[in-house]
Amino acid sequence: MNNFLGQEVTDPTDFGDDKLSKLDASLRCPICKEFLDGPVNLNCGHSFCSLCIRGSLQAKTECPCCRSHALESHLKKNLALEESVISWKAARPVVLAAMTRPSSPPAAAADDERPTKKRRLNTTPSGSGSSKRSSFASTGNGNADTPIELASSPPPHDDSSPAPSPGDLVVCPACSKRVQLKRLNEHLDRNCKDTPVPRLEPGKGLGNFFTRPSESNPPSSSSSTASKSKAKPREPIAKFSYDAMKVHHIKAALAKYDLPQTGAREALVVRLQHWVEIYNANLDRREALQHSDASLRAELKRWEDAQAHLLAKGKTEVPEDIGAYEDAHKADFADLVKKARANSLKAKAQSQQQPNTPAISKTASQSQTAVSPLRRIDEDVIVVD
Amino acid sequence: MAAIAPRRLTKELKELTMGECPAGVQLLQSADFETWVLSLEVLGESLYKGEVFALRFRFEPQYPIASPEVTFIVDDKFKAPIHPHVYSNGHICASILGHEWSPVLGVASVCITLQSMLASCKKRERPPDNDRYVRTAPASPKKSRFHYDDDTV
Repeated sequence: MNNFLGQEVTDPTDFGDDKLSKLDASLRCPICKEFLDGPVNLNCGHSFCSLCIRGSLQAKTECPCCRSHALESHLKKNLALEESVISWKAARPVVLAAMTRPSSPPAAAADDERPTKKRRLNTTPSGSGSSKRSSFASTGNGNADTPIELASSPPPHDDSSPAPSPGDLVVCPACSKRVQLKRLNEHLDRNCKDTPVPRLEPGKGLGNFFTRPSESNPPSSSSSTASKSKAKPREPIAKFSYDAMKVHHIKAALAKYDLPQTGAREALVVRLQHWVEIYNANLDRREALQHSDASLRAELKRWEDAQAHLLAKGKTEVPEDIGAYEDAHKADFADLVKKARANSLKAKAQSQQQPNTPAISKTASQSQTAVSPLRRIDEDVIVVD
Repeated sequence: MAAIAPRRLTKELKELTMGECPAGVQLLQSADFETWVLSLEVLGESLYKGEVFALRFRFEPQYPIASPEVTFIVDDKFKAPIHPHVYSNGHICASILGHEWSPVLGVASVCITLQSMLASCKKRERPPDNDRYVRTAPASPKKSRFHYDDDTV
C-alpha cells in the first residue's frame, strides 16, 4: 500500500520519537502533508506550499488553519522557512540512521535526562550514564554554536566603528574570505562556494537589497512582448478575469506562454488558470530550485492528463456513434426489455391476487427510494380500474 | 492538484495504522484511495455507550481541497446512531463536512469531531425532518444543502 505510487512516502511517524516527529511535522504543509515546497505565509502567519494554498484559496478565501480572511495577494514567500525545510530534508536520513544505530540513540538519551538528574542528587551509580549524556550534549551544543559564535563575534580586524558601504570588502563570517558586502548574502546562500562572477539575476534574492534602484528592473519591462519577458527575471502573472475574456483573448494569453490552444472555452480557461497557479507558485521557490518554463509546461500537461483521466473514470463512457452502438447491442436491449415486461407482469399478477391491499403496501413504505412507492400507487390505480 | 489525494491519503493511512489512531476509532477497510470504512465508538459515559458505528469515507480526486463524503453505514451489521444531526439513512448534518470543511482537516479529525458530536448529545432522537429528508435524499450527502442551525450538540 505504501508503495502505491512506486516511491517512498515519508511521514512524521518515521521517527518513533515524539519531539522529532513534531519537528518533522512542523516543516510540512498542512494541506498536502509533504515538506513545504515554496513556502508562503498568509497574513495570519500560517504557512503552506505555494501551490497548495493557491488551490485552497480558489475554493475559499480563508486560511485553512484559522479561517481568517485570506487572499492570494496576501501570500508572501518565506525564504527562511524554505531554508529550514531544505536543511531538514538533508538532515533527516542522517538522524534516522543515527537513531537506528544501537549505540546511544539520541531519543534514549533525551529520555534518560530527567530520571538521571533526580537520581544524581542522592546516588552515584548512574554517573556514567549522565556523564555520557552531558558529553553528548556538550558536543552537540558546540556544533550548533559554531556558526553563531562566528557570526556574532566581529572579525579579527577590529573595524567595527564605521558601517561598511555595500561595495566594501568584508570578511565572511563562515569561511573568513573577503567578500563584497553587497555580495555577502549571496555568498552565504551558496555555502561560501563562490562562482566566478555571481550574476544571480539582480531582480531576485537577498543580494539585490542594496543594488535595486540603479539598473535592476525598470518596471516598464513587465508588459512587453513574450520573447522579452523570458530574458528578464520572471514576474508573477496577474490574474485574468476569465468571465470577461473572449475566446481569442484566452488563446492569445495561452500563446504568450507557449501553451496549447486546443479545446473548448472551458478547457482553455482551466488550462490558463492552472498555468497561472503553477507559474506563480514556482516563483515562490528560491531561485536555484525554480523550474524552467519548459518543465512547468510539462507539469501542466501531466496535470491535464491526470485530470482528464479522473473525469473519464468518474463518468460512464458515452459511445461516440450512438446508432452503431444500438445496432451492436440490439440483442442486449431486447433481452432487457423482455425481462422488464416479465417483471411487470409478475407484479401485476401478484397485486391481482391480493386486491384488497391498501394503496401503499408495507414494502413500499419501507423502501427508501421515492420512485418505487409511486409506481406502486400507479399499479394499484390500474388494478382498481 | 490532482496528484495530492493519493499521497496525502497514504500519509493519513500510515498515521492511522501506526498507532496514531484516535481512541475508539478503528480502520476497517482501506483497500483503495476512494472508499475507507472506519468504526467509531464513543468512549466514556454517553448515550451511545457500548454501541459501535461504522463510517464510510468517500474521497474525490480533489481531496483535500474538496471535503470527503462521510456517512454512517446502515446495513445488517451497523446502524446509524439516533442523534438529532444524523438521519436514519446515515447522512450527517455537520458543518465541517459541508461549507466549513478545511483542507487541513483529515480522516482522523473528522472522526474525533463526530465522536464529540455523539458524546455531547443529550437526547436520543432523529432530526425533526428525518422522514421527509430520507424520502428525497440524494445518494451523496454532499449534494444536499443542509441548514446548520444548532451549535450546541
